[in-house]
Amino acid sequence: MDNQERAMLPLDEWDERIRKAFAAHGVEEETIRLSLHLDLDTEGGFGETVLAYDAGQKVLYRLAYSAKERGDDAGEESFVRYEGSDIDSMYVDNFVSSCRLLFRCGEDGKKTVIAAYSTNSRKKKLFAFIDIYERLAKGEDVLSDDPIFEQFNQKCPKCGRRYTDQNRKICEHCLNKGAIFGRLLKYFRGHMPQFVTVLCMMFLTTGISLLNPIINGMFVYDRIISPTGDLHTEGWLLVGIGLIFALGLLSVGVQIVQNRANAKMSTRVTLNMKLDIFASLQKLSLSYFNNTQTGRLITRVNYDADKIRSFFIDGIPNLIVNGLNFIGLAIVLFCLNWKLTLLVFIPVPIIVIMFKTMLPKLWRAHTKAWRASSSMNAMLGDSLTGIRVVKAFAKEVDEANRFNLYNKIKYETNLYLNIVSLTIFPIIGLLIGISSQVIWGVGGFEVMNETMTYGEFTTFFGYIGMIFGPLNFFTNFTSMLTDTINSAQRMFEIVDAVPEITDATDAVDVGRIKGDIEFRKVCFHYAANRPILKNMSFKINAGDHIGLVGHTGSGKSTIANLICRLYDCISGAVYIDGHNIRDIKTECLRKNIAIVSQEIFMFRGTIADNVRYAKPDATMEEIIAVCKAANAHDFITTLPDGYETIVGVGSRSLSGGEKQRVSIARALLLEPSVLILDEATAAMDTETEKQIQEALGKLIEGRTTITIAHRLATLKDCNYLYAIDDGEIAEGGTHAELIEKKGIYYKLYKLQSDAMKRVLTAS
Amino acid sequence: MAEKKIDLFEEEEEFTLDEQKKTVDLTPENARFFRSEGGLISLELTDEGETKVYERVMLLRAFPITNPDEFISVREPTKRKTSRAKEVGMIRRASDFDEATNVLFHEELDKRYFTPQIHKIHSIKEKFSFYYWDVDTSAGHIVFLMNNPFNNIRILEDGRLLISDIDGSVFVIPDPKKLDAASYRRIEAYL
Repeated sequence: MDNQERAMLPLDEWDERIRKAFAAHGVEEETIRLSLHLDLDTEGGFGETVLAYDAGQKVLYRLAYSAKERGDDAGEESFVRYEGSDIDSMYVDNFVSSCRLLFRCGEDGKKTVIAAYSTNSRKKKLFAFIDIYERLAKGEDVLSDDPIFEQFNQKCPKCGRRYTDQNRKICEHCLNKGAIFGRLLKYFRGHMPQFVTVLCMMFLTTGISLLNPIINGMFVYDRIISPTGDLHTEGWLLVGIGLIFALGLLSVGVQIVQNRANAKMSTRVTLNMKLDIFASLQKLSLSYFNNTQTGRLITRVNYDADKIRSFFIDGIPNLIVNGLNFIGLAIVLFCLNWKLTLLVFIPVPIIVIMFKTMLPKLWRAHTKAWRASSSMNAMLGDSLTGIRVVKAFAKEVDEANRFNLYNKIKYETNLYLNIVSLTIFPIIGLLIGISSQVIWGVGGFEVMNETMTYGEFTTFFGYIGMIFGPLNFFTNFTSMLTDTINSAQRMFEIVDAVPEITDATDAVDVGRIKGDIEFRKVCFHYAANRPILKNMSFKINAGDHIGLVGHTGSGKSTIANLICRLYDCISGAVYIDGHNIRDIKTECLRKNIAIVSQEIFMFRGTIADNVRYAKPDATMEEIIAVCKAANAHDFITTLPDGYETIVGVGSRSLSGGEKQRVSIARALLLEPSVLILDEATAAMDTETEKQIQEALGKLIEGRTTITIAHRLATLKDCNYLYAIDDGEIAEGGTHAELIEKKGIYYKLYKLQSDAMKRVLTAS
Repeated sequence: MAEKKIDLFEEEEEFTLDEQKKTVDLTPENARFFRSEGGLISLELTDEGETKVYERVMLLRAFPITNPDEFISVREPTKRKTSRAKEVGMIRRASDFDEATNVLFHEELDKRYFTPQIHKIHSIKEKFSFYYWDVDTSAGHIVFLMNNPFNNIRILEDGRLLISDIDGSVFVIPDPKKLDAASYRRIEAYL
């Protein structure tokens, strides 16, 4: 064996600091074969623990640093040496959000020692450490290219680069670094003509509104109506009025054009946004949906996209119009009469200060209101989906009360929001009002002293009225902006979420799968503190009919989920036809593997639609053939609408057994190489089950079939059985072999046959 | 085909149809808890005149969030390497036991329900929509990572904050208003 293979295995490596610390205890890096770095100290605080195994001498070292304060260099060091020959059965004790490593130690092997603590982030490595340690301790040689290390070498599905931090799937290269606002603007790409139209119309609107007061005051009043005016004739008056009217008409026309272009653009944008959110949701793995309430998701898709849309249809155009208006007005006002203008701007700083102090309050109230309506929707979704349970327990009134609870919270948050904003705005209105009165007064004096004409004054006053509009808008705009950014953040969170299950960049389409399935040291959990499958290895040959038995919660359905790759293994791998399941295109996998699971869902539509869900181009003949095989044809044809009966939420409901038969037909239509029946016949009577089994018998010939059942009678056609116990394969064999073994299967068999006997003797 | 590992310590599970699960109310009168040599918790239980010693028991909280010191389930792992465990009995109130036993309970439970208390928030920095929290806790200084503060901060009715990081570790702030002003300001926006 060369030196390369003697070096430390690629689990955790040492840095200079650890190398020195070990050297101080007389341990050289060259002697260490395996090392593990954990993030908690020996008391369970945020320190660190390094385990190192010297396979030659069979010695395990533990170097630990206790938790420290921020800024301190290192915690207290401790060092322990365990003789490998004393260590017996190393295992992990799972806690809620952490775990500990234990082993029996001491000459008599009686004492259980707590070796180390760790948070869940290091758990994968911890399990790998135990596995490799045990193999090394047995004298087995483990090489650096051992399949166990694959799990620590994961790559980003988008760019194919290795994740820098293997514990967290975050790819720095693929994260979207653009600012939220910039990303939102991308949705407006491809709408350039509308955008330009809207912009042009806005300039026009601004121009017209700036022209209005001049025409009203300085032209119509000063030059026509005023007795001193140079165009003081009735004819000119008509011209003046006509001019005002024409400008009004033009302004309306411009606005219609602008709004139409805007509406076209913004609805299109919302459409794309909603589609983006929905498509991203569909891509996400099952585990995401297990952790998120559906009601909340609905809120997100609808509310957030609408918020963003209204920002773009109301917010942005108004921002531009008001901004232009404001600048134009300020210039004109200063030109007309700078002294009066200064008076106008006196209340502005006060208004700004008020908003600065009140805005955070408003902002928080907005978030609260959003949360309240989101949890109300979640509650609604919850209650309506569970309406059967509600009715069964006569809880209608309580549900209404529960709804009212959320309703009240929403009412209160909205009330608060309104009270805050309705208090601020009148005060601002008052400030504006006072400054108007002052201007009236001062302006009045100027007109009386004839330093200003009455027409100039009306013009000026017309402009004053216009300048508070933009001011008001700007102050509102900030809350609108924060609201939108909030919504956008939530939207992008979904759009950016990386599905846990993704095709590798080099995933292959293997075409038709033969159906060899192998589990190699598969570990799996849904929640890190509850392992479901523990180091499970077994093999299924193509064409076999396998039965899986075991207690509820022993991991049978999980096996099915892993074969379909609805979830990825935590460690170890599933192989199909010799390919790691991660290297096969998911689409190809789903085409070849069909599952009939315990939870059956009927989409809203006809029975025929439901059957051909996975294969929309199936012919009527095919549909009828599979329904016959699934023993569903008879009951379907007796329905008044036959295959065209509408089923699903909110329409005719099928019985449990009928639904199961439809879903078996759905799976069969796919002509899968691997068929998984997860308690697929549990809701049927024995007679129907028998009929289906007979019909299925012909169809499943040559296909790998996995049947999961509690009722052993369901498994009578299986040619090999595995008994699963607590996430491990307890035993495997044919029915006769397992009865012979007198293990778990035998116990189950006895339990069921005893129960049967009792029924018989009782009757 | 993997053979089932037969463990020396595994007891043969007998089960019949009529099996009744029997668990005992554990009181200072019938139960004595003590620390085993290796640092685990052992139980000596006297029930119906019989005394039995359980070398390793697990303590589990039935209401870990609202009632951590009541209804504690005491279980004995059925097999050494599994988390599945049979209930021996339940402790109605931890405070029924003497102080030394309570210290024992707390040491064990605090590790099982590892929830460091945050004293001080040095900073919360957002980088590419991940939030890095630099905090001092009852278990030492740590920088943890979170992906969305709006989903991962839970406000309980009594005002406590439960903060979950990306790995599922949970941190607690018993009363955010009692944090120093700078720390409070950093989390204020998420409340």
